[in-house]
Amino acid sequence: MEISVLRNVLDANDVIAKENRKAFDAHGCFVVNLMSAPGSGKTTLLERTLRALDGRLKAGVIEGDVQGSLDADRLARLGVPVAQINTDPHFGGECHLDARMVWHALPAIELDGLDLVFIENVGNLVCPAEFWVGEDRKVMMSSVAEGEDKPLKYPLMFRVSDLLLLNKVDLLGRSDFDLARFRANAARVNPALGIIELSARTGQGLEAWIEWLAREVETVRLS
Amino acid sequence: MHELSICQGIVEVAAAALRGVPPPPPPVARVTVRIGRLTAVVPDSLRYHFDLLTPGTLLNGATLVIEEIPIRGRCADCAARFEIDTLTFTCPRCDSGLVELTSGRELQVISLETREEMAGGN
Repeated sequence: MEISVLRNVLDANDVIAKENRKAFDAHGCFVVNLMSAPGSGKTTLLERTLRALDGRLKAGVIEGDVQGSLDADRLARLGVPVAQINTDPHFGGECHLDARMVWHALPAIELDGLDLVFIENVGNLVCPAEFWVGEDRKVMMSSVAEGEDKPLKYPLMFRVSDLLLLNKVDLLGRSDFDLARFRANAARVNPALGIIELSARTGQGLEAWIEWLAREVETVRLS
Repeated sequence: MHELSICQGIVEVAAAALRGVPPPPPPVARVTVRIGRLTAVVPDSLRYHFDLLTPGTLLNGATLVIEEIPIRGRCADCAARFEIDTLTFTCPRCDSGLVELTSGRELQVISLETREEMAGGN
């Protein structure tokens, strides 16, 4: 006997992501899922971003790491609400965040009054791309130190993202990174993907990123 | 891609489907899944983990059949439909960047085939 199923394997994830979405919407929070390879500069960029947003937009962070609270501690020092998810030991040491993990973190962060929530995903260019956790936008980061071939090696991540941040541009003069080739590779895999070049270390390009955030928050608010 | 947790997802979806059948749940001979090429799931790895995970579950003894789905696009500008195999997502006809993916991201359980049918065929 054949039983027709026709269900997505990740259906269970999406059901929970919708619940996360409801929780965020109830408080009017705009949510960004920030993804990159390990060491790309997500946490450093968030430190810069949270300082720059101070007084303009109220933001919080849901921080995802396999182990430890190093990133959450750094960000909590800025006086913003932070909730830490450790996939090890609580979620089998997974290499990405999924909707269920974010759901479990919600009670640990006060969403009331927050305009913006950053979900800093586990450093990984592969798996996070596959999981909607309830965010409004997926923002990925690649850095000059990682080379210009990343779009061709990780096409799904580059395709699902709404924005690409190229970090560590302060290293451009001191590495063999080919910026034109990187842009061509990214355009080949996702022609519609906008790119903001920045340096979380020096602050170069930060304004364009802040403006993008402010515009996106406003767009979602008006819709 | 982490094939083990995908297999856990497959078992969960199959178990839910079997709940729709009058008990006791029949033994399952085959599970057919559709995997799009853009998911970067490795079919051999998926089969390996499936065989590790299914003994003692509702899918005990089942074979995993994998339909691999190519990445296909449709141009929003000139309506051309094409397969994408070199990771170039621009339209091969008019070079537009406005390409919508029509397949390639599937991660689906399509059907289950229960054992009575297979036994009857031998």
